[in-house]
Amino acid sequence: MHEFAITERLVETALRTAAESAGPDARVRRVRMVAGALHALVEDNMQMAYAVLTRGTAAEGSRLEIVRRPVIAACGGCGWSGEITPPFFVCPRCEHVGVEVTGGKELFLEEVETADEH
Amino acid sequence: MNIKVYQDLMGANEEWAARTRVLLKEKGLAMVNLIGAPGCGKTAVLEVMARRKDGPRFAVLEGDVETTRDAERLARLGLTASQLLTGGACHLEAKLVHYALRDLPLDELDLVVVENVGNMVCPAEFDIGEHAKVAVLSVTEGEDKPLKYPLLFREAKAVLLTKTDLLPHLSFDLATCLKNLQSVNAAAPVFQMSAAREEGFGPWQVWLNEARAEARSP
Ligand SMILES: Nc1nc2c(ncn2[C@@H]2O[C@H](COP(=O)(O)OP(=O)(O)O)[C@@H](O)[C@H]2O)c(=O)[nH]1
Ligand SMILES: [Mg+2]
Ligand SMILES: [Zn+2]
Repeated sequence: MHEFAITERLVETALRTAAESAGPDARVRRVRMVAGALHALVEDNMQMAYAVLTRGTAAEGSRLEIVRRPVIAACGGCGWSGEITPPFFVCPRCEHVGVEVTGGKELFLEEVETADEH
Repeated sequence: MNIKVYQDLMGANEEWAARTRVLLKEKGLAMVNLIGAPGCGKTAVLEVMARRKDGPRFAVLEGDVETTRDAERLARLGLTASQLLTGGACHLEAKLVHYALRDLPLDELDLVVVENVGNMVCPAEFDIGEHAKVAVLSVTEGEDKPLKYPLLFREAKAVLLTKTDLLPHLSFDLATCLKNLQSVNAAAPVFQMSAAREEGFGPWQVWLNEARAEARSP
């Protein structure tokens, strides 16, 4: 359940961002995070952790969007670059096994939407 | 109101990992992070290393969810071993490791070995400032493990294939396992070893000595 540790940081950062940008009374409506496919995150665990961790905060009841990004690799053998499917880190063109991973490790908070004030 | 953020979620952990790297550099120490399933033989490997004379001088940081049994096992062999209790968490994070590291007698050491919490998923996600993650896989676990846990095997700079004394009793297909490891990570050397028979430790100790030499180079 490392999802809990990651979600803790997500919620903390989202709340801080909302308060700094939209004022101390701002309520969070939606949070979007980006997670590369190399991170073994179970989405249900993330959602569950999010619901628990936002309880009693300005983000209670808000929606968590998780955007997955594919693993991208570049082949040092033939110059091919593109999407690969773990667990096979092999060049689909020349079958070279030493491809370099250039995308799929990202893990960040991308956007926070706050509710408009009335 | 939509606020664009782009805030890395590993940032705080990374800061502690960076402090650890600075400390290790200052002391000319190497640090490796052993990651594998519960019971794959991590502590047994450390016990054999403690008895051998050809390896680096090392201390151990034992990650565990709650008991101090592994650290006690190692202390009995005369090793300096601190137990890091995660209190339920399935992995070690950089801050806890940094505090424990600072309390070790660093000037008397060449190497610090971290035995992470027995788990093949979560510890692979967290940088603790180590020079190398080392994946530990026992032959009793099946040859497809590298394919089931690609992040760990991808991140690892070396792989220990343990309990090889059991091979005659298993239908474990060694060639397939090595091929799977190769397809996930072609660069990591695989050290086949048996702690029970104290076999295969020479090349692993050489690799550790090299890691140490690298840590000392400017
Ligand atoms: N046959 C055999 N058993 C081993 C070997 N290494 C460890 N074991 C056994 O595997 C079990 C778990 O070992 P341990 O080192 O505690 O695993 P850890 O949880 O990864 O630290 C123990 O019962 C050990 O006796 C080995 O090389 N050969
Ligand atoms: Mg152990
Ligand atoms: Zn290629």
